[in-house]
Order: sequence, then C-alpha cells, then structure tokens
Amino acid sequence: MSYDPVFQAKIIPILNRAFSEAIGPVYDGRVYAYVAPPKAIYPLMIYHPQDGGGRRADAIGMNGWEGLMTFRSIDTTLAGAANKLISAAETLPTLTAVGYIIQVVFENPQYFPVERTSEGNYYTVGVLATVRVYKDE
Amino acid sequence: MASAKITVELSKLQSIQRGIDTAFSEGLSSAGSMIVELASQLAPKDTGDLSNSGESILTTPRMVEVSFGNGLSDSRAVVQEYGSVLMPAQPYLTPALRAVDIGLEVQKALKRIL
Repeated sequence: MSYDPVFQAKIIPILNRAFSEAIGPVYDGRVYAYVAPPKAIYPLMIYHPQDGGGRRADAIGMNGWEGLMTFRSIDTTLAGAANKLISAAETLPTLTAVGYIIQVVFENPQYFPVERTSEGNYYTVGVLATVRVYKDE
Repeated sequence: MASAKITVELSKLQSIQRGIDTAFSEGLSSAGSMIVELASQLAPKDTGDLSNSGESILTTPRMVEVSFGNGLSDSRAVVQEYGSVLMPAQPYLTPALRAVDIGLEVQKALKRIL
C-alpha cells in the first residue's frame, strides 16, 4: 500500500467527476460546483464544501480525506426540488471513482428561504453530508 | 470480636456533582463565544452588519445556541452561509464551529471546578 503525498490536491477533481457522473443524469447534466451559470435552466443541483475544505483523515497509513458538503436541489417548484433531491441522494451511497473509495453519510436537511427574482420564484431543498474519500489499493 | 467500620463522606461528592453542571454551562458559554468571535471574523464584510449580528445564548445548562442574522431584516445570514441561485456560498459559521474544540472548553471548566 503506497502513500500518495499529493492525495489532498486530488480530492476536488475526484469528487467533481464522481458527482457529475452519479448525479448528472438526475438533472440532465445540470450539476454545478459552488454556483450555477447565468441564465441557468432548472431544475439543477449545486454542491459545495460547507466546512472550508474538510481535513486530512488518513487511516492506518492509507490516504484519506473527510469534509462536510452541502447539496442544494433548486427548481421552480418546491415539490420539484424535493423530488429531484431524493433521486440524487439515492445515487450517492454507491458513489464510485476508480482507485478511490467514497463514502457519503447524510447528516441533516437544510432549510432555504424562497428566492423571489424578476424571473420567478426558486425553491431550494438541501441536505448536508459528510463525505469521505480514501485511496483504494 | 474485631469489627470494621467504614464511613463515607458524601458532601464533597455532592458539591462536585453541582460543580459539573456549572462547569458544563461555563464551558459551553465559553465555546459559544469563541464560535461567534471566529465566525464574525470569517463572515463576508460589506457594511459589517452580518459580522456584528452574531449571538451565543445558553438555552439550557447543557445546550448553547449560536446564531447570526440577529436584527437583520433579510436572510443574508443564510445566503452567505449556504449560497443562493445567483451567488456561491461563503461559509463562515460552519468553519468556526469546526475550528472550536467545544469538548476542550468544557474540560477546562471542569478542571477549574475540580
């Protein structure tokens, strides 16, 4: 079992790719890190780190990382946002990435106020999860 | 016939028990204040209203509530922490919560009592 000294620098692209592949089909590809593009099409999902980037969590010499992340499902109706979040959440416990073990443990739902814009109302249903990534050998 | 007698002094144990509740409250209050202070520093700043809106309240002897957005007329506290459709999140409260060792603050308070 070899220890990867640059493992922590690989976490963000590993997760971006894994989330895009797993959750993308639920939102027809509209899964974004941090923020949606201007004039986005809904429904969509935005995810981001909630705790400033997590921390190294090596286990018995095996590379590891752990962090708290927020997943926000956004749609023009509350039911739409909620139903999509459930479908997306169901893909996360079996998240995979070649060469890595990824664990997603849901912590709690998160309330978001309705966003009223000139283009209409947007409803967000969110959930926080602890995400762990380990190097798999 | 020899006999043995054991006398147990409970008054100090009872005062320790009372002290434990006090220590928990002191430790939690201390940790809550530290979280507010750190989150205030981490909060995005424009007018400074969000940064100054933090509050830590001991709701029960064993529970402290830290909140931001107090006195503000909008939901910027939530939006900055979790983002919106138009802007990315800039978490300030969760990182502060993770950075403060609440257990250590309670432990320090317990040591003062004991």
